[in-house]
Amino acid sequence: MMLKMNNVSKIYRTELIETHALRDMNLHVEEGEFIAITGPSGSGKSTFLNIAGLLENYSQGDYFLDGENVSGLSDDKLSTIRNEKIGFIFQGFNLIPDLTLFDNVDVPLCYRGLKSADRKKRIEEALEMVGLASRMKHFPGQLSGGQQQRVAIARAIAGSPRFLLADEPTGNLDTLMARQVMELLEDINKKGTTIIMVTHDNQLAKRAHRNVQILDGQVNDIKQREAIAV
Amino acid sequence: MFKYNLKLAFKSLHYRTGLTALMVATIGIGIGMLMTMVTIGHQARKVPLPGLSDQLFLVRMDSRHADARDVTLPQRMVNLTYRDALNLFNAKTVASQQTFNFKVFPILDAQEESSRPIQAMVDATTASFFDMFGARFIYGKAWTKSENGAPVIVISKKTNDQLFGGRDSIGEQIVVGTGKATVVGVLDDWSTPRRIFDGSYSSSRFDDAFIPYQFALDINAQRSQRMSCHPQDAGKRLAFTTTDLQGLLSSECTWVNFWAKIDNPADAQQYRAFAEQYVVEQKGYGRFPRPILNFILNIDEQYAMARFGGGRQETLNLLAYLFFFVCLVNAVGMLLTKFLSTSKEVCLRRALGAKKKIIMGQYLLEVMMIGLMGGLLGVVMSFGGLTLMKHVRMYASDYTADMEVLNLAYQLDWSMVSASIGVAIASTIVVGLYPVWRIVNVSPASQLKGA
Ligand SMILES: Nc1ncnc2c1ncn2[C@@H]1O[C@H](COP(=O)(O)OP(=O)(O)OP(=O)(O)O)[C@@H](O)[C@H]1O
Ligand SMILES: [Mg+2]
Repeated sequence: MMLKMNNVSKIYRTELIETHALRDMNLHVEEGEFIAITGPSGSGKSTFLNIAGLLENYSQGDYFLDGENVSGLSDDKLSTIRNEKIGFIFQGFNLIPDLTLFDNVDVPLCYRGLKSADRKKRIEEALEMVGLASRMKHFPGQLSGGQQQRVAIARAIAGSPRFLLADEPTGNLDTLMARQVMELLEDINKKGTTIIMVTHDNQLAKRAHRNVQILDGQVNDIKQREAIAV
Repeated sequence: MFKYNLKLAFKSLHYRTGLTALMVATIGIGIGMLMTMVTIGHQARKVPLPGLSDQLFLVRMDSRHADARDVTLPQRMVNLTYRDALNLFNAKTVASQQTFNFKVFPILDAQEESSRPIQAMVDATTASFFDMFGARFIYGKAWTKSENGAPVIVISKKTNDQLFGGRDSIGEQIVVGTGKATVVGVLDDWSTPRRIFDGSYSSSRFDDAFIPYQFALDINAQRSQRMSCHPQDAGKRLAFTTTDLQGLLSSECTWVNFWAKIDNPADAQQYRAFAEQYVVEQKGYGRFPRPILNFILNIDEQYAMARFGGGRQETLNLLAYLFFFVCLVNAVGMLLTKFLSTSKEVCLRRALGAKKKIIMGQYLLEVMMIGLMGGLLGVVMSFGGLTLMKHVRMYASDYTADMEVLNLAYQLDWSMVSASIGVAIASTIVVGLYPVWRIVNVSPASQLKGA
């Protein structure tokens, strides 16, 4: 079991209001699955991904990542897990503009403390995989949106994570580029990496193994429901 | 990791260069002002004559008139009368050496084609003076004990340059006021920035020459020494400094600086007891009408009590500290702005696995670099500031001060340079703590959502 969330809730408290971003969320994801998460805006998809990726803590419930209960882990330990087990792909690419593609992909590897020869090999392989090996010395600003997202994917996979989290990876891309990115993710998944992807695009969502819909902070697991209906 | 952080810190300095430059300038100017003032104070307080300053005691006794005002501060106490100076000098005491001096200002003339006569500041003193105050000679040496009345003269390096073009002038004759003296020694520059021995503590200029006290009296060289007289003699001061030598010598006017070299604190106690005994004895002759009050303090003790530069310097110091504080407060704001403007990147780095302490290391490095640059700029600024203050001082003295002597009082030494840089880095770190704390604690999720 890659991910197991039992009754996870997240409440944002501001001075004026309390927002229940997640309510008793239950979700189990097996190793090697490719899950698409859909749902209307504001329903809590990003919140779920941030919690799953250990970027945020949750208010209630239990979360096991790769069999380990993550509640109560120190910030250092969480950083290490993020660095070693999880790859992130963000909607806004989040590349560092004044670093070359090579150095951008290098960031998580540096924090892992890998030797420079090892890092170089991984960076080249990752950029090779996304088809941008020839542009290593370029800066993000010199690339198209689709290419930038592929660099972000290269950065996410260079550390060979077990678990890839993508928040609307195609949200800013046209259909052709979106398809290319999707194909890339499918390739990565075939090699054994578990993927959870948030998307608004139903066409893309259908290509995943399983669709999970989040409505108002709660899960509507379509496959599970279908199974019950049969 | 350190190397990587160093690279990032360097990069970050280039990011928003304007802000970085402004911060460096702020810290640099603050440090520059502060160090200018601190250096002036530091040079002023530098212990003169290291190794001797705890053994040289200035002797002052209250021989004033019965109605004189009470004095509590040692530096307000009068010097000795000529009579007492001579009595102490000839007495058998625990002091290993004793000397006294008073200032005269005769004209010195080498009577050579190539040099012009100079109006000189000359100390009339004893043979023991030179050894006691650690004087070093370029040519010749001090006169001997038996020559305390001989027509001889020791001249400063500068005087030797002026009168003899710097050559070995031992044996040359110089006209000294109404007399004539043979040069027996040429002094090297003194290592002390202040004239301690005449009680003036002046750091403007050295004295031009030294002559035996008895010789100075023989030629009745014009005296240039603060005199404090009993009421009945108050009107005679002008005559005492010029014509009426015998009147002065037998008067109760105090005008002679007296020094004893005492080798250890126990002996100093004994010397003080001796001085008290002396006053008791003199009271028997109807002198010393006031309660016994002797101040016998070594140079270190006097320095600890003195406030050089007085109130003006202290005000400037206070201003410099306040200004520096304001600069630091400004720097906090600027650091905060600069750091928080990178919070999106920090968020990303945290998400990708950077631990808090790694991020902290990166930003502390940057803070230290800014501090270092600020410190270096501060050194340049304080160099400029000191040069400026020196010229102000020169101007204030109507250009009578001696530049070479002022250079000593306004010089930036290595201890001050390293202090500047150290203070800059340390204070920037202190100032950087809050901004660093803020940036380290940005939530890794906060900037990534939906962006
Ligand atoms: N840091 C926060 N503080 C307060 N409220 C928040 C915060 N982050 C999210 N929320 C609220 O929680 C709810 C869920 O937000 P979330 O970003 O997870 O939605 P989403 O499903 O990703 O929406 P979208 O499709 O627009 O990206 C929203 O009502 C949002 O306003
Ligand atoms: Mg979202």
